[in-house]
Amino acid sequence: MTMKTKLLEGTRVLDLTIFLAGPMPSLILADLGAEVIKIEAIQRLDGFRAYGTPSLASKEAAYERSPLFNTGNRNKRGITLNLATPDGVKLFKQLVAKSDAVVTNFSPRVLPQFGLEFAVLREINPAIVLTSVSGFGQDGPWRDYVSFAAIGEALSGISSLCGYTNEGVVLNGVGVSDFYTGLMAAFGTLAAIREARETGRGRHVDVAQLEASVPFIADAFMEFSLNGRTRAAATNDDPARAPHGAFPARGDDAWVTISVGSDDQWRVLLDVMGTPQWARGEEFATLLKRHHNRARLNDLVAKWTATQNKEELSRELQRRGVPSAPVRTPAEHLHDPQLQATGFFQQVDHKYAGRHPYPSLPVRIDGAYPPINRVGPLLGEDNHYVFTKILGLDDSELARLEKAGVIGNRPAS
Amino acid sequence: MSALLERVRVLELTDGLPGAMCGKMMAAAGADVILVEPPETGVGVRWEPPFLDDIRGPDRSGLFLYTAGGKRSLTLDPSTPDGREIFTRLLTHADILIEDRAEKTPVVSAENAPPGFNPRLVRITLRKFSPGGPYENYAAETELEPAALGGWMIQLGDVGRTPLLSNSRTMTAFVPGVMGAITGIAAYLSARQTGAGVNLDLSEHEALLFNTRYNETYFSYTGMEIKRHGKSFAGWSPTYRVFDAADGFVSCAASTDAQVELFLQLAGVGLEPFATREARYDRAEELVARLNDWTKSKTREEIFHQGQQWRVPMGAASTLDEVMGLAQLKHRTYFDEIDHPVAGRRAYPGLPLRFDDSRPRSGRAPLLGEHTAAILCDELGYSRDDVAALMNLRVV
Repeated sequence: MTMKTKLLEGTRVLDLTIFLAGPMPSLILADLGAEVIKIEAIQRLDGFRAYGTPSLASKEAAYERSPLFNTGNRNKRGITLNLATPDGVKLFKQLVAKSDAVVTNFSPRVLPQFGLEFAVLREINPAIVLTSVSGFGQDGPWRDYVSFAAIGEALSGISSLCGYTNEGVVLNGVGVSDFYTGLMAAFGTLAAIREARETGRGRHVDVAQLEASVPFIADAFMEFSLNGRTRAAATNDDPARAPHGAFPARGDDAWVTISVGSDDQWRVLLDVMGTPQWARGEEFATLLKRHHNRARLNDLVAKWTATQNKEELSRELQRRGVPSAPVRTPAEHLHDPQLQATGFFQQVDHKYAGRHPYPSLPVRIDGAYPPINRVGPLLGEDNHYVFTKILGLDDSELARLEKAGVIGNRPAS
Repeated sequence: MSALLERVRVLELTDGLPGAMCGKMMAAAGADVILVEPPETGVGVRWEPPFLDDIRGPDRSGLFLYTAGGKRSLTLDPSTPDGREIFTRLLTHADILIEDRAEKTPVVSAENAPPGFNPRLVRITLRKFSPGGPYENYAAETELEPAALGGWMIQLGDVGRTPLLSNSRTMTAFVPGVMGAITGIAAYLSARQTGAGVNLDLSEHEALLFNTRYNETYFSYTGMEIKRHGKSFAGWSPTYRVFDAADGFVSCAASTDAQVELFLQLAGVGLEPFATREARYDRAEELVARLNDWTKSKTREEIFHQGQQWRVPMGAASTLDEVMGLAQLKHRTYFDEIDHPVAGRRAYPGLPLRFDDSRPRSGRAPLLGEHTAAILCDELGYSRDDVAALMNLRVV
């Protein structure tokens, strides 16, 4: 079974990415069994190594203990290689000759600065796929502008759809634009790898965060395109359902969703609430009336739910066919009964970070999540393997490269 | 010679948005996607709003027009003996099957395979929740429940106020679909190599949870629980947030020391009181107020371009009508312009991928059963009379 989960076994990917959106596609490929080689330089670590480590009691090797880096680069090998040196470029080119794809989210001008533009890579290996992830794409007036999740979210129109009615913009804590970009890049890379296997010819795949975000709000775009209406944020209102949203429950920052879309579901909710006097009148008698009077309805329902336990209430409503769920917090996810039943979080050891839970790639392959064999990697952890086993260098050559600062396993000060 | 996914044959039996998007991605990259639709009504997405001119109809749904672009439509009732036979024959030639219906379509297995059956079939099943746990049969008629249980709602909204869902269903519903397309292509490559088919099971709930900022692992490492924080993102920098502009809002993603210092310089705010990361957190309110004084005196456009020219990551919060006119998207001809016999010529979100500077363009969505006769006669060898009979029997 574990062998079967390695769908991309035999595929090798070079990973020149940092932060979140860039490492995401290669993380997916690594989880699916590709051999992904993450390349950092001791002179310039992935910036994510510095995130999420503030509360560590010991500062020893803090750069090895970022939850964001260790999760986003799991199942990858890690090497260091300074591409600003002739040795670094030469070794990188040798790796290109033995790989299927390169994924990068360096600014569009960086690879050409190293003399590693796509035309050069293709000359070395005609089947190589180069996936370039960027904020705005490899050409155009905004080519050199920088983007992070909040920027993609704002410019793509996503921000205009997220928030309370008429109150302006709130940020998605999820960083949706980064993930949307990573997903699209993973798909594009695989489609190009498939083509390269058929034709022997690779492609330069150009993925821009701004563009990658737009399909994910296609419903709102199609409404504009078909009917000229510009949709905007609307709290949790739904045109066909009321009550519909998240309501306060007993406890600190505890919330439960309720979604009523039929008279039957309304009757069940009434029954569960004990059919209070306020709910019996004309004001809430039909779906349309409940929708028109939803502000008052939501307030009244909220007063009642605030006395309820979110787990018990959602289970009872679900048992009787009314969509409902507790709004989960990160800490709660780790004890969620569904996720425990399916084994979604995998416990993995790390030399410096210790043992922690990591989310599985959300797919079961013939019944099993792809295993998370390692997290990290440590800085330069696989230098020896990659440079000796894949490129055939000997130990004395490695020592020379290390002395010259081309490779290493400690950050250059 | 095949371009991208050309000659990959996909059968799609889905009613929901995740399955529709899964097939859409494959069609956009050149796969031959046959949408197997119930005769008379068609797939469920045909009946999802928004509708052209707000009038319901099988060829008027904006979500169908978008997700079905480039697919072929075959009407078929696989529960009838004739329908089942047709379906089995289609399956024999298919590489990938996408489905989301509760009643699974009977699929040929290695044991009951007819001669010539392709054992390399990749089967993608999409659900709201995974089987094998207490939520397996949970009712979820909108995106609320997967978003609440999948960690997205707790990350959107003001502290202390109701957590939010976006006013776009596809923001959540398309995530498992694209994830299904990615793993589906990986499984296809594996099946071609090993000769063995693969079953893939995905749920919207888990797909959303995977696509957070790994908040659970973060909590396990640090003891800090990241939750919604209104206009800012808790944890990175007080300047990673939304600011007011004279004509709306801008988002700023300045989080490194260098970016924050450049922003202060650009806004004419003295660095000294905010020189260290600690000082910026200690005096966050004052810092944000002073930067906001500068931003609110300028338009979104001015802040965006000035910020970017200074290497400060800034973005204008755009409304949907504005997005269509963004200079960068126009330069890269991002949107597709597609003719459709019912909807006319419209702009559609394009495939956000260019291959060697060229963007694959989507075809139009098919009319209900538009390709039934062509597929049955030209590809499966049925006669026109057979097709007429099958139509009378409501098999197709």
